[in-house]
Amino acid sequence: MINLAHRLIVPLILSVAVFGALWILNERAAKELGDPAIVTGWFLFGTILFLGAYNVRKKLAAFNVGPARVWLAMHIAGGLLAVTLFLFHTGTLWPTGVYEQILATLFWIVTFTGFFGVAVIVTYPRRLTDSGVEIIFEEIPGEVYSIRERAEAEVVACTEKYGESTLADHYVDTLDWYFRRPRFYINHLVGGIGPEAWIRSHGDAVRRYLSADETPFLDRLLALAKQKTAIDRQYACQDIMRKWLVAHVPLSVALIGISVWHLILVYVYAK
Amino acid sequence: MLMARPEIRSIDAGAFPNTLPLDGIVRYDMRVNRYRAGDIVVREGDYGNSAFLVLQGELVIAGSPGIPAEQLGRIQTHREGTFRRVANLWRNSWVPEVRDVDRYGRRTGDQGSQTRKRGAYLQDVPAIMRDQDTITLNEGTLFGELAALGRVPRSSTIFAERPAIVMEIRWQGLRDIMKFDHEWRRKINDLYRGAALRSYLRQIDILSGVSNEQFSAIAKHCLFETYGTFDWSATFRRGKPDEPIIASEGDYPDGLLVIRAGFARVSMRYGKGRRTLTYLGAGDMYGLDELYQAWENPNATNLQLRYTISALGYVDVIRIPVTVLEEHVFPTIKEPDDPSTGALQRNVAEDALMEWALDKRYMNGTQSMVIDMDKCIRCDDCVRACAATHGGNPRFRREGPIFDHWMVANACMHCKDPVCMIGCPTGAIHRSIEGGTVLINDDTCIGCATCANSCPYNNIVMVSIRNRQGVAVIDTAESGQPIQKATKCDLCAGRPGGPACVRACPHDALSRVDFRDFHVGTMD
Amino acid sequence: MSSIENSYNRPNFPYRCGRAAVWEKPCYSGPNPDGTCGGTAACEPRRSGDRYVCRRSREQGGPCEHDPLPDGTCALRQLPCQPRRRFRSFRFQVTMIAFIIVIALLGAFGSNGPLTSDNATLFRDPGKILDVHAAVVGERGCSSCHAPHDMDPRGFVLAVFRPSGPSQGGSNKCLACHVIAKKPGSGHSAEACTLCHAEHKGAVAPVSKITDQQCHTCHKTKFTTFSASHPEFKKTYPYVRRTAINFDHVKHLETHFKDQRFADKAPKDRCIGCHVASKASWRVPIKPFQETCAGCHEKQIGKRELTLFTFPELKKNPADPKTIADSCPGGAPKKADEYESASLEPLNPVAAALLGVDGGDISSYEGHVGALLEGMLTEGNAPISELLSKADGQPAHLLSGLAPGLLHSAACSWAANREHEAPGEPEFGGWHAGEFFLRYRALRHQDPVIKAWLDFAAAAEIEGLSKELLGVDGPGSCVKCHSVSETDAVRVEWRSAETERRALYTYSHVPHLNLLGPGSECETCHALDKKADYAAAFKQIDPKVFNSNFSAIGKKLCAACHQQGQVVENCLTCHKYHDQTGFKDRMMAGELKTQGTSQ
Repeated sequence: MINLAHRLIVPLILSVAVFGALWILNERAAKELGDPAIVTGWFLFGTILFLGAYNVRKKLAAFNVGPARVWLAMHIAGGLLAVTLFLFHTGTLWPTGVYEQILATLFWIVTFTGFFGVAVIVTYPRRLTDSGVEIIFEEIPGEVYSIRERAEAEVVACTEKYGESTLADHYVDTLDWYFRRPRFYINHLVGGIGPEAWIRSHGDAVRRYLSADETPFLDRLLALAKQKTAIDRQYACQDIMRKWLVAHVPLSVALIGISVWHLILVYVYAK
Repeated sequence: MLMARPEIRSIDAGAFPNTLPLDGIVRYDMRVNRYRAGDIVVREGDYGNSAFLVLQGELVIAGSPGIPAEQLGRIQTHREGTFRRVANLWRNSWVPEVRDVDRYGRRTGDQGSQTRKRGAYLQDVPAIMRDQDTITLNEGTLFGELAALGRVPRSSTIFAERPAIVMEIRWQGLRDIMKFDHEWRRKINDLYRGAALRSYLRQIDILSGVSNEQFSAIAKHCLFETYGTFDWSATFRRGKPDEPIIASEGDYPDGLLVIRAGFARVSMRYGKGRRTLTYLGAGDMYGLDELYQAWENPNATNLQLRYTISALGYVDVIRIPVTVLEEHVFPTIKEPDDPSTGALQRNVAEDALMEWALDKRYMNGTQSMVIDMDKCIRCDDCVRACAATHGGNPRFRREGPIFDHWMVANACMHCKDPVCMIGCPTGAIHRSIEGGTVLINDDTCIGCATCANSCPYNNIVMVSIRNRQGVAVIDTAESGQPIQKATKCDLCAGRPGGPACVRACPHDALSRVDFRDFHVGTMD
Repeated sequence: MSSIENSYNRPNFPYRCGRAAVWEKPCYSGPNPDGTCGGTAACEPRRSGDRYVCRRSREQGGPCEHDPLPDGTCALRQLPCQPRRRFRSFRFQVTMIAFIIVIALLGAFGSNGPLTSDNATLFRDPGKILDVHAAVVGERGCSSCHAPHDMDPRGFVLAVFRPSGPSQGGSNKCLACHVIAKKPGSGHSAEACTLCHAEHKGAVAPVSKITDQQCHTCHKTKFTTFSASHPEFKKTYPYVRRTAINFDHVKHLETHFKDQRFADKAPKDRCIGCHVASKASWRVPIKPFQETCAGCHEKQIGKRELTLFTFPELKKNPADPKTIADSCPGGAPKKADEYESASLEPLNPVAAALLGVDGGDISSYEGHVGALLEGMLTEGNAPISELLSKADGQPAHLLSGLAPGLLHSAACSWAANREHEAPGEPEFGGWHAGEFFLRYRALRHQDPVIKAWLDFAAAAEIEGLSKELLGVDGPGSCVKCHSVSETDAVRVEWRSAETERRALYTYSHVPHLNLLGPGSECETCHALDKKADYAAAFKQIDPKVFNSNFSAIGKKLCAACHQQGQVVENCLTCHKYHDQTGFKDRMMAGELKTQGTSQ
């Protein structure tokens, strides 16, 4: 996070400079009875296009277009600049006019998803590292399956060896739900310890009904459940880190599209 | 036949123990190579593991200006044009490891048979004979021992102008013979001293103030020692890394050890284990402080070595005897600093990263890919960028051992001691002169997997190549097996801006580091 | 370590195993490059000689225990899955869809298609217009103000490049209803209303927000705030000319009103005794003459009469005896050898001026007077009337009330060379003839005949007339108070205050009265200047030469309140951009009904 703050210093200074330039141009336009809204509008549009260029840059990774860390810092600073320019341009949080309100809605959604994204990138890497495992997102299903396979093998082995279905029934009633797929999504997102507590209470409940020979199977089962907790945390965090972009990117493209029409309308009717 | 050769005959077979008889060495560590006209015996810049003895005919050393790299099977690091890079946006296919197999067919065997691979022979020998300064190696010449014994790249290219027969002896055999036969040992040591030692010694800083005559005396008395195994990567991969001790704490110093190649660990007893203080690489010295103190205070009694030095993998050492030092060197230098002061002020937790890195032999890397997992958002942009610059095929995996929040990913580290380069039959894997980057020429690689099996870190991956339709390319001409190629990170050679992975990380999490600069607490 | 050839380690690959998507066991290598399931078989068996060999990778466990089938297919097969798209690819699809939706929606609703014919402005209206404008715009809709454009896309695109805002595009639609009078010579001549005024800000939002900075753009004298550095007011501010009525405030307030003799008649309470504070605007109007001045001054009106005609001394009989005998009841006078004029008067200045003769020179006026007299005998008022008409006077006004018989009977007397005897004193005023003169007596203020004569004298520019009538001692004593001024022409100032308003300037007394606190008075700002020579100005007719009774008002006085942190001090508080604004009266097309802005 400190590193991100350091990288934002220069882009923020640039943004302030751009805003300052716009302020001066705006004052001049207002004084000379020009059209300050046109000036601020173009600046805002240019900033939004620049923000959209970040996605284009990602497609051009094979080209020498500048390090991505600089682009990201400029993107974040540019986003903050866009918010101030938006308020400067509209003069209000919520404009009049149906079309303008659609534009504002999209803008605010994109902005707030952006804030969410920044929050995510400063909190989740540490959370992922501290979970204790490291796994590539696409391999999580394989790992979850493998853990489930081993868990089921333990249960089957215990049942076959000792003939009692206690553990198996308990598994079907409780732990099977847990091992089926990643669970406790929200809890992992906020860094809670709910899963451990759940395993302790639900998983352990059967211990009193097991013989001393069967207990090691339960212990191994719970150890697998604990392993899965770490995997679940990886899944939840990495998943949300992909999902938020599914809101942010398409809406920003829609925003740009709708802005172009706004531009056309302004030039048709107000110029 | 070999036993009949005068050089071999001159060896006293009786000096060899029963467990390691001479004829065993001859049988298993030597072989006879028959070279046709134009065949390359060794390439300049290759890391080799064998020496050669000319049996019949003669070989030619290409002196200056040296044979152009592409004739040696090296990759031409051309810059990919902008148009091509833009076109790649569409051309990159989802099919993994696509190769243009038509090109393979067109390229080989312009002048001769299909079976000789590019890089294994020279196409235009008369031109080379005309344009290069050449030296002839006659019958009975022994060459290549430097590379076999030390981790030194071949200094020049040697090829056969006319057919010749050459005996190739592996480094194991050579070492064994040297151990038991004085004549060979003397001969080889003399060669060594004559060729490389002087220039190397001149680079040692404490010898910079020494006059020329003293310098000759020093050179004459230096000893060469090697510790650890030449192919340490094999034992390391099997999970049984050995670390032979060179000198122990508590022993008396017997000369200054100067590391010539490889790495050594400096450690001391700590609790019930051993604690690493630092590691030494090429050019570093061990024991200087103790020897100097002993020279300054002849009556002192606590002159033992303070720390143990052990070989990390493989290390080549020059030992400068005490007498030489006291006579010629110490009067010319200032008192050296005690190198351990910094180390002992740190606590165990601070050194844990270094301990881990040394155990994993990461000190070898000059471009290790280190990812700060506290910054990485697992977006895989780095892998995507690598794939985009390599036709859709990533050249590393975002996986690897993690210590605390540092991951050392499976990307080629471009080691100082490139064990992968030993033994490549076609010279496809080589070190580029400009940057020290280790590169594989995809065209000349024959997929033997020597390099992949050697890499201690599993950073070289063998891949099956396919055509555009996704069908694996089969070597129908010879083996009927799918053709494989070795692939690894090439630091985006031929592209401006450096490795794409570093450029693509939005959070400054990924960097290519030289481990020496990276970890905390190195005694420099 | 996982293989680099499977799709899991290739993050640029768009598909993922369908089994993994439902948390089943994913296949080893992931979907094929074309998006089909890549896990239907565990390996691709390779032909070796005439048999097929299993090629399952080491990571999967090496060659399986089953051999491939004789036709080369793998023995370990499973049903294909439905590969799903990875998030990145899904995101790309959503982005494309979002973009297409936007384009589609714009195409459907953006242009004037049938979908929106009912409510075509819904998506174009950036905000409501003022309620008052909405009432006017009515069914004509947007083109009431905006220039119309063609409906088709080409027209739309052209409209982007042609100016078509409300006050551009060649027609300033605002002026269809609004009338903006421009002060001649003023630089305030912006052609486009929308430079300052913007609509679509809401039903009741203000239409413009003008800042001081905008004024400073053009005005050369720039300053920061009013109180800080506005230029000092003119030396005589707010007075630009002498008062229309010669009323010396100082003499009256300090001397006359304090005189015990007039104590019961003088207005009380100083200023507000005459000025009506409740009707204050940019000036505080004065009560009418009857309520203020009449108490002392009405009597003076009747003291001076207008002499229209004085029968002068003549040398010979002016009229033919026969004419006299025919016209007058008394018959002809006695014949006499010598004519001895009964009147010894000179001709009165008015008549002399009208006739263009020298009133003291018998020989010059004798003939005219004779003709006049004869005319009076035969035609009554007609000759005088003609005389006036010739001088561009209006007899209807000038001789209003002059009965036909009065002049005739007087003329008969004068023709008989004797005094005319008036039956009595004209105690009720009006035209009266007596002795040798015809006079008019005004008794009340605003007497129309005297007023007509004074206006006639001012307009006629006949020197004798002006001197006689427009002097301070003139008839009716009008000019004693009503000054005679020449601006574009000579006029008598009948009204009490200048009727020309200050253009581009606005001041209202209303917020200032009583604001200065209890006990404060008009004289807080309008301080009497006792030293000023007020009367001197009225000795000439240029109204711009003046000395005001009141000290000039300096900027400091205003800035005492109009300063930072107290009362507003922006330019528009006192200055205006538009001179006069109003609306065209649409019922009477074209006729201008100006409506001042209530100041």
